[in-house]
Amino acid sequence: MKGDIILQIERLSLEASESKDPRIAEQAVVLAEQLAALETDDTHRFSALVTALKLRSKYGLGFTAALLDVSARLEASSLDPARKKGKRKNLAAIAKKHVDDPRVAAWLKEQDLTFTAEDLEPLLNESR
Amino acid sequence: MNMDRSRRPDPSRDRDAEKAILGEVERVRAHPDYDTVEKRAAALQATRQQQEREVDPEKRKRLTLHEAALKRLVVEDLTANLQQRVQDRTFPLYQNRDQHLLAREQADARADNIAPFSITDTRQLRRAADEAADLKWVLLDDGRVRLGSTDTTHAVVADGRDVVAAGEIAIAIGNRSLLALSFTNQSGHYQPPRDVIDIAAPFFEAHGIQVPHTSRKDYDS
Repeated sequence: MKGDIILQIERLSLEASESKDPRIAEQAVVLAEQLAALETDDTHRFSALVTALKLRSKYGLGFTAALLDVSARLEASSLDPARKKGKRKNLAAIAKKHVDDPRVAAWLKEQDLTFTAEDLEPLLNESR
Repeated sequence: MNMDRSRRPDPSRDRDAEKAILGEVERVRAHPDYDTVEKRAAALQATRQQQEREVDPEKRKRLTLHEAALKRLVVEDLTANLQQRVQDRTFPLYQNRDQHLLAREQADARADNIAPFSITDTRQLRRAADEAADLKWVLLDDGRVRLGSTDTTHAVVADGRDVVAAGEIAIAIGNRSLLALSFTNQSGHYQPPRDVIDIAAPFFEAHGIQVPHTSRKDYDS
């Protein structure tokens, strides 16, 4: 079922991209956020939320408020520091296109986006 | 135009490097310490760890050559095993569920300047890792691994072909190595089961991307 929702989001994204119709993109956003609500795993949940944010960014659908909301949820999540930083970098990559908005610029300034040995060492040790 | 000669690719240097790797491949192949698939895979990981610690440039150079030869043999081993399993249908192939949309998806990707790339393209991989970008990946039945932006579809990354495995990966740069923060079987277009994660992970590891077990996440579609 989740795979079919992803397929439907991708079909709508293609449709929105071709027609430049934000109403179609909005349907894809709704589906992506519904998918996020279904997810019990943080990795998958934030993957769906990032998909929704990208669409909001591309079609001007309330990006800033959604960014701040997803960011707050990310910081409150139980993801480990390395994976949290990875997702934060995903958000920052999208947010960079919106630096004209002072709230986004301020948010970007606050973010720690550099991986340290401390972040990654536990994962590297595990894979050895 | 005054071009910097030192930046031009030097074909004779490439030829010499290839000759050196082939020589090392033959040496490794004939050596009893590397006579099984498992020994070669373990030696590849050990060589990479040694490389990370080694400070002497000459020794590092020798380790780099040894690593390149081992990598080539391990990828050959994995590919031969994969092709055998595909042939005897132990590994099924997954089909694109939206094949009729492929041409439109490819056109959309081109318009957005999205070009899928091979896992052997280390420049693109490092760039993606630098952005901690999530990428879509596919494993094809000839052992090739292709990756592309999450802004396109798995079908575009696979060029519409059937796949042995597909999913998403988030990559970070470790000390020198690349590390998967998450590695999943998430794909709307192919919807493969969890098993494909463990089929594909050794290919990523052979190409220098560590895939820890806690990063391997089933996407129960």
